[in-house]
Amino acid sequence: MKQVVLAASMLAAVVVARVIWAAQARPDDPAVRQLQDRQRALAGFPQAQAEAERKVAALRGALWDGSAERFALPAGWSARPLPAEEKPGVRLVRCAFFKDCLLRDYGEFVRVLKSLEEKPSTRIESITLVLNADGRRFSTALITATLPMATPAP
Amino acid sequence: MKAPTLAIFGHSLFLVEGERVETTTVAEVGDLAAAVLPLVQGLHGPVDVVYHPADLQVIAAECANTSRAKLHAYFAGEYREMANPALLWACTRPLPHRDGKYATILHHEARPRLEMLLARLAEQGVVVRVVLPPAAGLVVAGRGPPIDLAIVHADDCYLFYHLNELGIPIVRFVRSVETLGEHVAEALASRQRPPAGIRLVGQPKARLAELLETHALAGTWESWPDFLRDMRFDPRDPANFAQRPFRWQRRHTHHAVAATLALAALALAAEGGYRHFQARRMARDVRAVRQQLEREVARLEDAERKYRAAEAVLAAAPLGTPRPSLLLDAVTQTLPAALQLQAFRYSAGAFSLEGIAWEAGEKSVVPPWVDTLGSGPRGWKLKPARITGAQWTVSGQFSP
Repeated sequence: MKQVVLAASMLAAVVVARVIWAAQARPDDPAVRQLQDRQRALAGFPQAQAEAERKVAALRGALWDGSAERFALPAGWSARPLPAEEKPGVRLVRCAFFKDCLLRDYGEFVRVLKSLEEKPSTRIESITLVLNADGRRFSTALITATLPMATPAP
Repeated sequence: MKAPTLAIFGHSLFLVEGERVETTTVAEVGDLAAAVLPLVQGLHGPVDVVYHPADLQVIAAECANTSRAKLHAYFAGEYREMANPALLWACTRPLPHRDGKYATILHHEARPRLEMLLARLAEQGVVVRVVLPPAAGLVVAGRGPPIDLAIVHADDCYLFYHLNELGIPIVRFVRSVETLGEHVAEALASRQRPPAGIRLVGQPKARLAELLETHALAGTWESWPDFLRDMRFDPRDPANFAQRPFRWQRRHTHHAVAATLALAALALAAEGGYRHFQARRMARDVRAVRQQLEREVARLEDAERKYRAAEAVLAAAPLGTPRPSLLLDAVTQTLPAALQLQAFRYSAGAFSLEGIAWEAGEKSVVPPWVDTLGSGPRGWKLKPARITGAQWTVSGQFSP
């Protein structure tokens, strides 16, 4: 009878030990599942990043450098800076270019416009070219443009 | 060292343990176990027993020289008590006659006593190793000269053993000297020569001495302790009553339950241990996977951050904005001489061209010119010209 009591005690001790030290680990760890979801959600970004950085590299070649602020204008032309805008990696310098032009200065007007458009990043905001009633002088010869300048990458 | 020996002969009990000898008696209908237990109290280790109570049946019988199991099968047909597993039995080792046959001395219980006695002794912690009838001590092959006649005696019980000149044994258990005398006389009458080997066990009594003297039998009386010390107890002796077929007992149930519980405990412990091991390994694997995923997600988040930054740069300074100079070049190249451009306005992709026709009749050149200006793969789209008198206006939009 003693051995029955001893064996029953052993069994009870083992059962209690198993309840106390129950195995906790599960294969479907919530943190892992969350990380896997996040990984799936972000999976496309390395490729998109490479593509975007290639475009940014192309864009940086098309940006004005700091010296472009002192844009070389033909004689008689004036440049009035307008409020600039700071963007990540880019400073958007806005300027109004104008001259008291004669009709014969049309070619020069177009050259100034083309020299501004030389950098593909230039955005011509507006152009106003209006001939006076006498037909020999422009009452308005004005170009407003945004010249994106490269700044250190964010 | 020889194990303690307990002898139960008739109503007399003897316990011999080394030099210690104890004797007692049990009533005719008394509880045998109740008499035995005080005697064996305090004994440790195995005990050998010599067993021949008054009601034990003893028969000398012819048999084959074969195993105990086959002897049981042979005798169970004739002695039905032997078929009852509760009644224990024994037979001495088969010994040959001079004519080539074999004989044994068969013992069997008439009522179940020994089994219960052994169980009671076991409950008291006394392990009985071998239980032999006293006749087994007389029929021992190869140990000195054969015993032709023996009388074992205690109180009013007598065991008479005789081996005739052909080697055929007879054995009787009697309760009076008169009956014993008849058996002795009958045995001696069957002989041509007086018996040579005589063994006498017990305390000599006057009437017993007279009987021996009458039949001219001379011998030395041997005490019970000496007889018991001289006996050899072999567990494989077919005369061992304790060699009985297996019977399921309560202790077997206890052992089985205990073994089952212990096995269950071991199995549960082993399985629990294995599960713990598995869980720890799984936790380690999960941790490794999580760390790898964290590194991968950190790399992807860095890629996302860089992508967002690049997108912000691209959004701040989009390429491919309209080139108004191309439009002005096209106007310069295509404008008919009859028309004069007086104003050009451009704002946020939309533009307008205004001018005059030198003569009213030439204003019809405006639409073809507009068609020319808008034809081909140009980066703009023109609306139909509006002509008011000599004034004309053309508006359009740069394609995105």
